[in-house]
Amino acid sequence: MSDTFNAAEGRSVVAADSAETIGEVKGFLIDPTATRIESVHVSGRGRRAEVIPWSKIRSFGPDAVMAEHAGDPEHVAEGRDTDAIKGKIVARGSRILDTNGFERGTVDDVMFDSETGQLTGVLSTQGHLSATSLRSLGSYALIIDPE
Amino acid sequence: MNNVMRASDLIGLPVVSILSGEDVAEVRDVVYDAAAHQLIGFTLNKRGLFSGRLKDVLPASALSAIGADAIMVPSETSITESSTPEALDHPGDASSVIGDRVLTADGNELGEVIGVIVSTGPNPEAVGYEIDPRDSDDTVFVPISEQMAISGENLLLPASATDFVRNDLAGFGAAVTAYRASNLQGES
Repeated sequence: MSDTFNAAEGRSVVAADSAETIGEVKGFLIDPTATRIESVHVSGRGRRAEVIPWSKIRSFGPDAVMAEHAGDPEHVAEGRDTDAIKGKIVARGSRILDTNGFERGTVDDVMFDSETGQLTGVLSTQGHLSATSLRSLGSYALIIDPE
Repeated sequence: MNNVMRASDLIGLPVVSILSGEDVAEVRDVVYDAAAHQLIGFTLNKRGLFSGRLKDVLPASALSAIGADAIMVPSETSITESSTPEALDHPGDASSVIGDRVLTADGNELGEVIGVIVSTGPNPEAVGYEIDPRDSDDTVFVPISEQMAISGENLLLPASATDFVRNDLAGFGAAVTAYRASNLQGES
């Protein structure tokens, strides 16, 4: 099923084993080649934020996200994960730059397949971009192929 | 080739890695070889507010594209400390064209060179010079050609180029394309 970052934000995240609510979807961490979701950033209620790898998501449903574990919060890894938590690498609002060095607006929303976590497209301030045109996502920009 | 920009406007642009989406440096200065009418590369500054000079340089051969908003490189390894060509080590040594007097084949003086114009996109190169005419406020743009003789004092504009002199940068991009097409026809 097709889903988007904007639509998924705030959706509750529930542990599949204990039925306990872990928190809600705060954001997504995308792999460096901008092809799929690596992990889901979950904000706990009053607790510290945690990052759930996509492999630990059993089902990304339309009303709730079912995660595998209820126990130990996934330790936030160094580097990219930490950057993402601090809001350094965020897809939404990110500058878009084509490989010719021209800015092409900013990211409004990201579409993905809720079964696989694969990105299916990006809605930019200048229109729709297909997933095949995405090259990489870094702290400076989302890099895309020129038109 | 319709997109061109002033080499001086490249200063301060971020150098961005296509592989990682990170800004790895920013342009400190443009290194240009006037005798060969060739862009050699860039010296770099670190990114950030209190940025200092970076030892690494970016040879023109290593870049992916020049755009209005960024200089694109394949990856962070494109910027290198071992500077080949050597001119990047001593930017001042490359013979300067700025201040040269521009003369036409029939002996008219167009003015003085105040800047270099480069093409944008993949395979960027120097395509023209911006000239400040002494008798007018409007600058003019002349296309670069191999036939252009340069002495470090005078720059001689071949007769074939005079039809492609423009006084707006936007129109100059198209003029360069047309000039190159006419040169190719002349050779064949």
